[in-house]
Amino acid sequence: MNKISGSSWIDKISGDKSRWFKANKLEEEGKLEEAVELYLKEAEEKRHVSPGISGLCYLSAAKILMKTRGREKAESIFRKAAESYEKYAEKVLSSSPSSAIWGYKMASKCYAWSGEYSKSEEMIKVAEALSEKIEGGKRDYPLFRVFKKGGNKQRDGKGSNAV
Amino acid sequence: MLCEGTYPFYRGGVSTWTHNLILNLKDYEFFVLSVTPAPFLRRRYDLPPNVKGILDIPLWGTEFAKEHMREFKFRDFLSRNLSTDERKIRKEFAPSLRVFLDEIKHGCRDPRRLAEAICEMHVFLTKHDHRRTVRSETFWNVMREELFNDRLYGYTKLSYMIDFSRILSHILRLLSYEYPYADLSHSSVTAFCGLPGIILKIERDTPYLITEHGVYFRERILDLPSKSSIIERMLLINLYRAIVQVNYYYADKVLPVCRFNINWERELGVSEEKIEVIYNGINIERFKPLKTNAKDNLKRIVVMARIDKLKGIMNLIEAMAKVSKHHPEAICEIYGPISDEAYFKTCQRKIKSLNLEDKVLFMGPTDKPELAYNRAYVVVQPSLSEGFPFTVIEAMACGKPVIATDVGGVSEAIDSFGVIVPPRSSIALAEGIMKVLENEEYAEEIGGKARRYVLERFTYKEFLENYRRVYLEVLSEKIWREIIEWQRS
Repeated sequence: MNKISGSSWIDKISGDKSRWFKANKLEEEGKLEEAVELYLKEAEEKRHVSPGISGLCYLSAAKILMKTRGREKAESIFRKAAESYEKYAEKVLSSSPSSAIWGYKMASKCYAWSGEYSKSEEMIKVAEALSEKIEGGKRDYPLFRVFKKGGNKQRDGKGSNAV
Repeated sequence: MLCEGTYPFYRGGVSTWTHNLILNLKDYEFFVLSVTPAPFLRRRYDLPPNVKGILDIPLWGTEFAKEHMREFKFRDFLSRNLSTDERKIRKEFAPSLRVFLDEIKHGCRDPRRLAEAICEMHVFLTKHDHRRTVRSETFWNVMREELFNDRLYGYTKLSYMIDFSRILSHILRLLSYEYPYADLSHSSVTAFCGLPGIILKIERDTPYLITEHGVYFRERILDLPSKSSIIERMLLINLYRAIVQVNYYYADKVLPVCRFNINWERELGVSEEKIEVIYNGINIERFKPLKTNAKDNLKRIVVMARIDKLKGIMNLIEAMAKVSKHHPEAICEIYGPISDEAYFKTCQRKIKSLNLEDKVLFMGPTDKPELAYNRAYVVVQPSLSEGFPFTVIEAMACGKPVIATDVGGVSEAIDSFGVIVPPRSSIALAEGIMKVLENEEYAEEIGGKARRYVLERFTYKEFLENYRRVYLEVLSEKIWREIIEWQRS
């Protein structure tokens, strides 16, 4: 498949200010050392303000390090990514439990890749416990609904408000 | 952010959703690609500072694709024009057009084949002139062979096929633009505007998300021209089905705004693990009970909807005829822009024929919906199709009793804290309105409960956090996939 040909105005508007985007571009161009540096810089900067983005940047850096220097060299960065995802999960737990579940799952994966298997298991247990809590009450909504004659509606076990 | 017929040029639920999302996700930068019916439309929203740019793609109203753009250069236009000739069209464009037509007339048998044809047409149309291509002999020959001479569609009127082909040629304009690179594409509807998302996904591996408000495919079926023949309708349905299915196939995540949509998505082949419901959220500081200056004894029935067939205004007018017989103190105020002029005129004629001129009032669009809700005794939502309407949760947050038709995610929004009636039934709607008008205690009780329910479930905070996470999730998953693939290799 042909790649999209980059024209000047497209280049101008395409994320020239975002460091993550720049790092991504460097990575595409094969400048891996520079890309890792930029990812790590962004990750450190966002560690407290936006742990989710920080986790993403650490993960991107870990991926490159793993490819270029082997898994052992990337382990410490995977750990940092895990910590960031865990922190993200804790931060959003009260406002968005489903986001927290995902954060814990990501943390679990990253801890596993950093060699900390017990911590990884701990994270997955937290995620599972949370998901059991919030997904317990899901209801199904049928595609086609049946209405009684005269406008009365059949509702599954709750019809007090129906006209 | 990919939009079609909505943000930032038209007001409505999807535009409100898009604006709120962009405005509040300050840590992300957006580029808006908006498919519009005409160029040079007035923006209805002030673009937030994190919108880096906007590319509007008018499908009609310009002679040449891109001519409305500031970046339009005559030199480029000339070179595209000169490089487009019959031989090239026949060799480089016609094969993919043929596949495209074959797939859309069968409602998309193979999404990968369709998407590849779309990508190839995109590559051709960005380098060559769209106008010359769709006016070429080859283009119309392919149309004739694939559609006019089709064993089934060949039975339709020639004039219809010519119109259909012309519509398709306009839709193809969408493919003649270069799209900005992005970390991810997010479409606000499962429609033609999703095609750039699919192209970026295939060519650059850019993650692609779809948020589904009203189910596009369902709405298009509801909106089919009633005068056309079965075969003509089938062709349109297959076109929409093809576009919807190719969107679903390439989406990394499909994010319906209510659980109701999931059923349609499943029917159209979306796998369960791709789907996640993210309910809309509202600003509870803005939508709350307020004192208004309405000091008369009228009982106001407020409707917040654009004037459009899908919004069921005609049913409401018929219901008002019954309500006003028993409750002369009731008046209905409809707030919203007119999106279908012919329908508006039909509504006006209906109002006149039922002598409801002083009972049903078109108030036009409002920038202060919270005041309109607070003027209401009861808020009504008579739609024939909805996703997860802001109107309902905003009115509930204002502590107003809501009477709404059971469409889309309405029953999920209301739960048991409002009155739900079947759609298309003016009798049921009138009965619902009267039930609330006649029982003030009941109205107050469900209004209060509704507000508490919205405060618990549909807040901005959760809505935004869910999207922030989904963005992170698709990007993280993409990296994760690369890690696993590398490890395997």
